[in-house]
This record gives sequence, structure tokens and C-alpha cells, in this order.
Amino acid sequence: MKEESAHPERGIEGEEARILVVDDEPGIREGCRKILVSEGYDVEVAEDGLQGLAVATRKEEPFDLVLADLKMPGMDGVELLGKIRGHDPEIITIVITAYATLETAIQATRQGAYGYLPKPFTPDELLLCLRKGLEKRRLSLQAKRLREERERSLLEICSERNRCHAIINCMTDGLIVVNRDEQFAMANPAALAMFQMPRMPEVGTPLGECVDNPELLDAVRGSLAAEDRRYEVLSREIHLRDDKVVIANIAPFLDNAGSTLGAVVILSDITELKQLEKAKAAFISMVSHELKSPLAAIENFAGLILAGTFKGDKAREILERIESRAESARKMIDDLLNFSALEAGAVCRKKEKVMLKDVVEDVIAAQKGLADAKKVTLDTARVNCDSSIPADRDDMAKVFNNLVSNAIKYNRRGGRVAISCTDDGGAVKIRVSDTGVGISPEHLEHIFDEFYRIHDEDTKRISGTGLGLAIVKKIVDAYHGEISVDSKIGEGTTFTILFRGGER
Amino acid sequence: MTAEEQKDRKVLVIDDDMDFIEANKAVLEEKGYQVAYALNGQDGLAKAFSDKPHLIVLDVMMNTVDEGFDVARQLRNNPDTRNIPLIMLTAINQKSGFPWKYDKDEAWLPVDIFLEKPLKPNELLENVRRLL
Repeated sequence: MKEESAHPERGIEGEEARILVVDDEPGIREGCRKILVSEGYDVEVAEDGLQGLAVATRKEEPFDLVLADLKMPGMDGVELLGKIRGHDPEIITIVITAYATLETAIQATRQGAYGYLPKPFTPDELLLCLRKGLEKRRLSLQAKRLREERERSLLEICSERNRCHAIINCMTDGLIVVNRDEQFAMANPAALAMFQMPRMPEVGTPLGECVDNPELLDAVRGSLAAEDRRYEVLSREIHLRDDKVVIANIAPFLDNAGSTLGAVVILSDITELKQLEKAKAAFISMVSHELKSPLAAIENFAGLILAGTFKGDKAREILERIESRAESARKMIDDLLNFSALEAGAVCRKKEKVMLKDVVEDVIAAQKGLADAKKVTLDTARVNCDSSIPADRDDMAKVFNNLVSNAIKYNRRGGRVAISCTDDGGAVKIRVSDTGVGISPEHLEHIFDEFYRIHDEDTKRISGTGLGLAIVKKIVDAYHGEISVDSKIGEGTTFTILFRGGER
Repeated sequence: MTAEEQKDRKVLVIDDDMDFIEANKAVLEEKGYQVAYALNGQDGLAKAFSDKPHLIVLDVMMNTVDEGFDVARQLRNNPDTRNIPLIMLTAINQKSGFPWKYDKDEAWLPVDIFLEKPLKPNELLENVRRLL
């Protein structure tokens, strides 16, 4: 403001004021222009009403003020100024007239002109009238801006409220607000659903009548009762009727003086988290059990050899068992690392065109010793020479190694393991069949679970980690393949893997 | 007690680990006990009913994480086996304090003694003697 009054020629919003002079008398036109330009205004001139209107209504650079002669050929001043004001209601219009009478002045101002300037006028009279007009222009523009701002913020407040409401109603977390007397203030639909409330309770209803959950009531009560809880959020696990678990974070609702007005309860469903925690604990307990078993056996055996309970040939046999248990503990750790890498998806795969024939050859070479010891025949007659799939060779080797070693270990003495790979153009089908004892239906459904092993007289001497098939399944899944198992007690078991084209 | 005194004492060991059975069988047989064994709960129950052992050593985690608990319950629910002393073995949970319960009824289980693997020969023998 101060700046504006110190430089009156500086007009509107810090810009030079733009002024249009419309007069058919060149003397007046140019005289005005000179005076105004010397005062620092940005001036344009027009010779008559029509030209004046065209200049005044140009889109770019609007004028702040128009000076117009009343009597002009064509369009007179009153008509021109009326049209210009229709274009920009805030523009300041001043009439110049040589026939200054009270009547014409009244007529012009009645029609909306800000003022009039009688001819002849001195430069000071011109400038004084102009400055007053520009001040009026400044004030009316400011008023207009304030009006617009107020309207805009009103709209914003309204939409802000709706938005908050919508957000709270859409939250998957539950929200309940109570006052300090434990009376219901508000809740969102998620909270109603959690506590199976059929409808929104009335404001002021005691919370205990709205929600049938002693844990929540207790927690809210605890939060409201605590002293100086300015920074305290109370967290409590709450069990819902449908076996879900939510965590309630209860924050105090304080006024400016710091006294409690009520409490805001945010409820987050942590049921899945709880289940994960449980699964993790179960997994750790399984792993510890599986690792502890071979170590316990080794410790026991070693102790008994040292104590002389096992002697001579028996002791030697027991040492062999110790060696095999140590090996199985070590393999278990390898499998675990493998499995956990697969589980975490942290496996770096180098995909290449893997010829299944080559993989089978390697696996046969690796498993031959095991097969020979049990007099098991490995039959690879039906391994299609052309079958290949885009895969990581190590993955395929793990799949075949696990399936073939199981097929040997769980086979009868002198049995047979048949490996086949067939390619029907669209899909590659891999089959590993044995002539072993077979798997009963109740075990069959758990066969791909980690650490699942079948313990009976037939399998008591078979060592394994219980992770082999889980690893096979994870690998097959990673290639979007399918694995299935088919077994007949006393006849044998067949594993079939299908890799379809395209996605694999 | 001498080996002669244990001659008619039958112990049934139910565990899915053949090596564990073999080691403990050797320990017990050295002291003159007769030892029968089973590698899973189902066989274990059958042998408990047919052999009428004087004591049963039972592992918790076999085919399932709590197979041993089922076996223990069934032994206690049958009048023929109700009074057979029972030593239950766990590989974890008792000393380690790992917060994982096999069964919410664990505290109610009618088991005489809980022991943790690996089991020292003397520890096994002392507990067997206590119960017989």
C-alpha cells in the first residue's frame, strides 16, 4: 500500500497502469498522451468510438482506465464506455466533455462512468481525476480478489470435509471415537464390521452398549484413566468373535489445555501377521527338531562307544551310522539353504536351452552308486532325445536328482526306476516311476509339505531331510509347471511334471 | 539293581528315529531290560496293547508334530494301558523355552516324566528305575 501511494503513477498490482484515450480531436488526444506518458503511464490512443472499442476489448493487456470524449462521430462516448464496461465491469471510465453541463455529467455517471473531466482541463486536473479513478480501480480489483478467495475457500472447506468423510469411510482400518465418559462419538464402517455392529450407534450411547468386547472396553478405559498421556498411545491386541485379531492403537484426544476430551481408537487387522508368526514358529521348531535328531543320535552313539556299550564290529557299524547321520545333517542344511532361497525368490536363474537328455545322463551317473547298492535298474529308454526346455540347468538337475534318489531309496531291492521325457510339441512331460512300496492316500496329500516324512518299518533306515519334494515343487512352481503324484500301495509311485509351452 | 532283577521288565520305545531306538535299546538291554520298539504312533499303540510293557518311552514329534500326544491320550483312555508309566521325549521346547506349544492341552497331559533329547544313558536309566 505504502509503495503504491509513494508512486501513484504505478497503478494496478505493481504494474504500470494502462490507459486508453479516445478523442476525435488530435490536440486533446496527443496532449493527454504526452502528459500521461511523462507521468510513467502506459498509454494508447484511439480516434473514434469504434476504434476505441476495438482497442479496449483486445484480449491481451487489458486497460485499467479509459478516457473518452462524449461527442464523437459514429459511436459517442456514453455508448462506447457502456460497451467497454460490459466487457470489463471493473474498468474505470472517465468522460471528457467540452459541453460540460450538470446534466451530461449526471447522465454519464448514471450510466456507470466513474467521473467526468470538463474541457479545457489542466494537466493537474487530468492527473488528479486519473489517480482517483485508478485508486478506485485498485480497491475494486482487491475487493473482487477477496470475494473470489472467500468463495474458493468455502468450496474447499466443503469438499475437504467430504473428502475426509470419504477417506475415513473407505479406511480398511477401523476407527472409533469416544468421549471421556466412554460414550460413543463416531465410527467408520470398518469398525462396525469388526465388532459386528448392525448399525451406527447413536452419539452418546455408552460404548459398552455398542460393542460387545471386554478387551476393547478395558483398553479404552485404561487409556482414558491414565494420567498425563499427552504422548502416549496405548496398543492392545484384541480378539474378535470371528477368530480375527486386531491391534487397537488408542490415542488420547486432548484440548489445548491438555485435558482429555476422549480417545481415538484405530483398529488394524493383524490376523495374517499372527498366522505368519505361528507358521514361522512352527517352521523353526520343525527345523530344530530335524537338525537335533541326527545330532542327538550322533551324541548318543558316540557316548555308547566311549562307554564300551558298543564294541568291535558293532562299534564299527555304529560309526558308519554316525557318519551317515552327520552327512544327513549336513545335507539338511544344504537343503534348508536351497529351500529358503527358493522361498524368498532370491534364486538367480540363468535360463538356457536345457537338453533334458543331458540332465538325465548326469543324474544317472550321480545316482548309480545308490541304485547299484540296492540292485535297482535305472531305465531311461523313454527319454526323448529332442526334449529341451528353457530353464536353469541346476534347477532341472535338482528336480531329477530329488525324484530319482527318492525313487531308488523307497524302491524294493532289485526294483526298477523308469525316467521318461516326452514332448508333444506344446508341452514337455517328465515322469519318474518306481516299483516301491507305494504311498497311502493319507500321506500322499502331504507329500510336498516341507519336512514331511513317512516313518514306518519300510522306511526306518532311509535317510532324508524331508525337504526334497518341497524343493522340487518350489522349482516346478517357479517355471509355472504342474507336478502330480500317483501311487498304488505295493506297486509303486509315479511323479509327473508338466511344463507347458510359452510361460515356462 | 542287578541285570537279573530286570529280566521280566519290558520297555517299549516309540520313536521315529531308528538310531535313537538302537542306542537306547542297547543301554536298556545292557541293564537287562527287554526292549520292544515301534517307529510310529500307530504301531506303538498296537504293541502297547499286545505286549503290555511295564514302561513306555514316547517321542512327541513323529509323522506329525504332536503324534506323541495323541498316543499318550489314547494310552490313558484305555483301561489296559492306563497305568503304564510314560516317559515323554521332546527334541525342543522344554529347556529352550522356545514359545511354541504343540498342543494347548500340554499341561494336562497324563505323562509321568518329560525328558529332552539327546538323552544321556544315565539319565534314561535313572528315570526308568524311578518309575518301575
